[in-house]
Amino acid sequence: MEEISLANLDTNKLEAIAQEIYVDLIEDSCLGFCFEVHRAVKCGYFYLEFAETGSVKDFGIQPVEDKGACRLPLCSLPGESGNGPDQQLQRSPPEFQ
Amino acid sequence: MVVSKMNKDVQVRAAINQTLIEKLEKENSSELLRAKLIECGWKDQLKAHCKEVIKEKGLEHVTVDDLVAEVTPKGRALVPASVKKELLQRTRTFLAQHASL
Repeated sequence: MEEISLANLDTNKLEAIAQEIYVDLIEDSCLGFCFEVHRAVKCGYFYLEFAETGSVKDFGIQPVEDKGACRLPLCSLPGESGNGPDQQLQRSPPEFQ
Repeated sequence: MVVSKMNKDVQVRAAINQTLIEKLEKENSSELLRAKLIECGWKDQLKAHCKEVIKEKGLEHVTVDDLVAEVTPKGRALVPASVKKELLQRTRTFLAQHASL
């Protein structure tokens, strides 16, 4: 096998290789992020990620009306009433139920 | 013939080793890049942009292709110059240290 030495390549070519590697890494990061977001959307937890910065209304989903304490079994814990989960996160949108 | 086979084995092992070193370096660089991008707020900016794209396309209809087409160019443009400089420098150092393939 013939050996190829990077030392024999001129600075411009080495720089071009470094740039190529950099572009590859950025593309990887961007694609990975896109897949992460897409997965979050399809699995139904995308809107939860954005609960801090917005609300489900941003996506045309109406938030659940405040009907007092949540009656879901997991939320029916002994203690003060009205201790249900954050209203914005109370229920997943209909399409994900 | 035995000697030439041994030489070939050594060469193959060296080539495999080099590939592993390069892959490890790529993995390490990827991890470093990911951490830097989170630290500098790149991920947050891109999240906000994704939100807009999803609002426009619709939560149920958005595809991977939509996200890649809309988000990737923005992602490339939002990388801070300091992160780019650091990553390029790291790559140049690696190339200089591993002077033969």
